[in-house]
Amino acid sequence: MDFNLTAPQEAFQKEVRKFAEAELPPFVDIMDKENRFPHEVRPKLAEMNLYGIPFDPKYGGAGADHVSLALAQIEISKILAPVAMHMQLQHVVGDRFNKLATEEQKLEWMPQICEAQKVGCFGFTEPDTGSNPKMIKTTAVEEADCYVLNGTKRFITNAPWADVMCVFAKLEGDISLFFVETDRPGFSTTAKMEKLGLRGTDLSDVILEDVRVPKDHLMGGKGGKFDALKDAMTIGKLCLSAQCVGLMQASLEEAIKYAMTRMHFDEPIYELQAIHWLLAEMASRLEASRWLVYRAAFLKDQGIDSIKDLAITKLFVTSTAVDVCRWGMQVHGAYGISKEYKIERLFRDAKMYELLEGTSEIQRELIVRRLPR
Amino acid sequence: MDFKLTDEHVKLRKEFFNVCEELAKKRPEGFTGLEGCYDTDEGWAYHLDCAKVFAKRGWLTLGWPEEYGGQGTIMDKVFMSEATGYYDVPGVDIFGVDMLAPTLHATASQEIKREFLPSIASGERMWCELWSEPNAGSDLAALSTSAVRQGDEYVINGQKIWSTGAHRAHWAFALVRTDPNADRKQKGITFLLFDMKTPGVTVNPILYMDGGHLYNEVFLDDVRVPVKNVVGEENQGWGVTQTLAAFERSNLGAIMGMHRQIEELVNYCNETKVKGEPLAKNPLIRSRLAKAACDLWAAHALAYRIVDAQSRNEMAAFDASAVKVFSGELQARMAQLGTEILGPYGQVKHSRWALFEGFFEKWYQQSFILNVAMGTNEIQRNIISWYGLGLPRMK
Ligand SMILES: Cc1cc2nc3c(=O)[nH]c(=O)nc-3n(C[C@H](O)[C@H](O)[C@H](O)COP(=O)(O)OP(=O)(O)OC[C@H]3O[C@@H](n4cnc5c(N)ncnc54)[C@H](O)[C@@H]3O)c2cc1C
Ligand SMILES: Cc1cc2nc3c(=O)[nH]c(=O)nc-3n(C[C@H](O)[C@H](O)[C@H](O)COP(=O)(O)OP(=O)(O)OC[C@H]3O[C@@H](n4cnc5c(N)ncnc54)[C@H](O)[C@@H]3O)c2cc1C
Repeated sequence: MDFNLTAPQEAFQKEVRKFAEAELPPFVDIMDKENRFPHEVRPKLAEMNLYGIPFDPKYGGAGADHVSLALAQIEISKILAPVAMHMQLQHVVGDRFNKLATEEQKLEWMPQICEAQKVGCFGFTEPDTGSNPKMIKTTAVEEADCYVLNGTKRFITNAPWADVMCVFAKLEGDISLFFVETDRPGFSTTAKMEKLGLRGTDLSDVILEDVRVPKDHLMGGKGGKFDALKDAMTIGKLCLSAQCVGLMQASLEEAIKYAMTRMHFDEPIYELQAIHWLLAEMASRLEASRWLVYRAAFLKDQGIDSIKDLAITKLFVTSTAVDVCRWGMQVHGAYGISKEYKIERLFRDAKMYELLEGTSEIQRELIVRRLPR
Repeated sequence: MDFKLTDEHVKLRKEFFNVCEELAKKRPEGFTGLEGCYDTDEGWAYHLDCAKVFAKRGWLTLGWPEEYGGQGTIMDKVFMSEATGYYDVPGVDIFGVDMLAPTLHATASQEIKREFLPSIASGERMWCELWSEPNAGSDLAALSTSAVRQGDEYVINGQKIWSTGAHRAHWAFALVRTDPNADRKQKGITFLLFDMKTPGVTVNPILYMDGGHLYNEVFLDDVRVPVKNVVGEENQGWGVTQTLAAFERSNLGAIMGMHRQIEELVNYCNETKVKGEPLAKNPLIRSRLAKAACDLWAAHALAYRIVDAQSRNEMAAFDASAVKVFSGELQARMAQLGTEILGPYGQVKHSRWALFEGFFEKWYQQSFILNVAMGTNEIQRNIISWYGLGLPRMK
């Protein structure tokens, strides 16, 4: 057992931290206040090779491991979580190409994804379901030279301006996965949604009306792609759990900073036991979460089926993040719930994660089915 | 012991509920809680309209002495706040009706009472509270806004913060320091009233977490206030603030608001199918709703007990702290439960995707107010420890 980061992991972590602290602060208000995605950030992230961290350099990736992916996600979300969420989607889509596309498609698409010349989005959720594959209504019908897709997808991150979408649809009664260029006739999106947190990650419905894709756009063959969904979600869950750790870390740092400077009864509130209690609880939960995330990433690097471990991680870390950010807010008193301090944004962002990539109920199901009996 | 309401109480309570139900139908779209009153022009107009309706029925003077047009008892006031809380109907100025009026009854001179109570009773004059300062929150007695006496006026200079509704309110009740040399910081503070239109008063917005305009910072530059506007005695203002402890503090308005939220969530779970089954049949959801309902009824019982004790002048100071912490934390948990049950539809802002006009998205952010405002939960716990449990007093 060795709990230390390797030298390359540590170097990478430092590099991303430096990058995030230097480059991301100007985008905070654009994303959170204006609810707008700053496309200027894309070349910066691409230059740091942050869009394809665990992928083979042959396909444009950084050739690093999933622990490094988690480290990067933590550092980015400490400053601005929605940027990390945008990177996550790029990894989820890249990962589908990596696992399911032909060599030719990989060589064509993955470098463009890793350099963010093409932005991806991922479409499972629909108006009627976000977790039950049996209820998916989007259909794919095979014709002589193409598949024809019809349906509506809901809450799709990056959708308003994505170039390519991985879409789950029912083909001959079974779930299959397709990729669709978004400039194909029949593909449209609705206005983006205004939401509580993770603002600036543009979210909208996607409407598919007789969208025709070539036969080679069916990814990994017909049917049985519920597994592809669960598998796709492991990388997504790793990323978002790491984002929660970043939010918690930022909350703790903000709370300490505030408590050291806020004078009350002639001393900083940092000296009060009531504040010690809050900070200590925050720190304990942050550390537990961090190590769950590192371990989940490590297992993924070992090629071990990590569905259970990622479900455990996601279940624990996402609900913990809400508590930790709330306590951070409490330390700030009235300042904490005003727009004057950073902590309220961390809290709103944290809230969004509980139901992403499967609600907590789904995680419990995934866990229990994989417990030793 | 008798937990049953008298027939008369039942009848009166029903009347409050009926009137509020009607008023709720006129609520502007997306109106929520305290922020709803102050954030938009429509919300403010609605607040004033409701106040007029209540004033006409004499419901802004419940529990007041008869000579000031009072009627009913503190119990009636509680029923009224249950009704406004349940329907999320404004109209009762928390500062004027709930805080200032009882303070004046307890501590003010006849002249002050005659001058200021009628416009509270008629719902025409709305108030704000200028107490907190950037460096005086929980440690309120550290406040430094100064008032220097010049003839029959005070000249006030300083800054107040978190002043809820100060951008709309007509008048303010403020705490200022009149004796900077007093031996204890609680001494030398004066409680006074002034018109928000007085020259030298500048109100700047501070946006709340959800982007709404609820509170403000208020700058006071050479603001001249007549000495006759002092409540109680000069330098005795701290004592005046302490009488606040004797007011209706059951939090039943907030508690009834939660009753309505649970009802809405239950309806939603009955109507919404996931995997072909109504959410109401999901064991996890059922148990969480049931747990919330238990907590809510515990809060409700505690709140009624406090009202009962208060109406006999028996309440200990920590009782109100207990119900405030309990119902405040419950409110935050309830908002959390709401967003979890509604899923992403509970996290988008008021739009065609949102449920309940985006109520839970907003409420999730507003549900913390009770945990910070009017004494943070940590301060309430200190009070419970000192007065309730007899633990040694600490800073
Ligand atoms: C910011 C954001 C970004 C998203 N990005 C994407 C994306 O890029 N691609 C994509 O496909 N999807 C995306 N989603 C959708 C998300 O993955 C789904 O919302 C999620 O999987 C849940 O789906 P559902 O709300 O339809 O819930 P369902 O599983 O259909 O359940 C219906 C409702 O019941 C609730 N519920 C069910 N069981 C329980 C229980 N036991 N306890 C409490 N509540 C319960 C759920 O919370 C939900 O509100 C995004 C969502 C958000 C908020
Ligand atoms: C929505 C809202 C509306 C408000 N409206 C008004 C208004 O209209 N008028 C007005 O005057 N004020 C208003 N306030 C201010 C409110 O009264 C103060 O926020 C409150 O007194 C706490 O002060 P603070 O925010 O400065 O926090 P601080 O006192 O700085 O507290 C910071 C943290 O330290 C903790 N802490 C401080 N002292 C102790 C202690 N002795 N022991 C243990 N823990 C401690 C607190 O619990 C908190 O966690 C409002 C506040 C809110 C949130």
